[in-house]
Amino acid sequence: MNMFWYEVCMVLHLLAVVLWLGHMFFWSIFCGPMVKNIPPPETGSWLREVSLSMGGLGWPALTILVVTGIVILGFHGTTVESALSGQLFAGQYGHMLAGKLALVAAMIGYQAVVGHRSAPLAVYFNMLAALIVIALSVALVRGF
Amino acid sequence: MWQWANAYLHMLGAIVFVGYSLFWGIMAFALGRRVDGTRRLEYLTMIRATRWPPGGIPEWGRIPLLGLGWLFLLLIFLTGVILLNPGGFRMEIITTAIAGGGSLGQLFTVKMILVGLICIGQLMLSFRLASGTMYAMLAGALCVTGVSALLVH
Repeated sequence: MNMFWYEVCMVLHLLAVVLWLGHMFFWSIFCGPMVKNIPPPETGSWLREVSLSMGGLGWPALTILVVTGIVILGFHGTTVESALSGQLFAGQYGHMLAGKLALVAAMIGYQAVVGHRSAPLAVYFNMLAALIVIALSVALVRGF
Repeated sequence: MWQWANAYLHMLGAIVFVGYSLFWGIMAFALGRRVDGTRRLEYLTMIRATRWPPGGIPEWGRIPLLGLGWLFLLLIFLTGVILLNPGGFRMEIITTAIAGGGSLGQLFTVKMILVGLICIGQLMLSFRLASGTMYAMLAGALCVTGVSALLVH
């Protein structure tokens, strides 16, 4: 695979992350509570509904993340054998990668089980997982 | 560890700012499909006037929506400057990177121009809630993300 496609995957990977998590964080922490409280209550509820009308970024973003993530790992020399043998997850880099992949799997599970249903407690665990995934990703790219 | 924490904050700031731009873009588009221009402007003005957090603290301590956008941009700027040079900010950091030429210098120049345009868009939202500005800000934020991915690589 040439460098061009690697760079395309890097850009797509980052775009999927910022769109998906940006939507999740901004809506859950800022926009949701703000818009819901616009008076009168009917207007606030309607505007909140409008703001949520174009959601559904979770699955498309996850699909892009998984596909581009696999390509990026492949570019770094990762093979199926190294993953299955556990060689990939050895050392500090490997531990961080394993942690990241485990949390991503948990977030996929959240998306499949909870999705857009109301789950006030679970959503905060999902956001915490996202924060740790970002932290690990930054560490994987730049080191500690 | 300090550089990692700084890069982490830079990334978080960028993610939330994209969420903020996406929010404006979605509201402009979704309201445009549901109500006429006058009502759309009325609703967008209502949204712009909201403050965060909506309760719990006195009104003067709450941050308006546009203020949140400026706060995210400030966080991105400050952490970005530290990322460029851990010792602190000097104007030469920017000029050297731009004048440096090569693909890195060119990408950095493009990024700085886009960041400047985003700031202009953000400023324009204080005076006029135009859909075009909101879409342009979202496009700009996504382009900056793409360019940043190439810069890090």
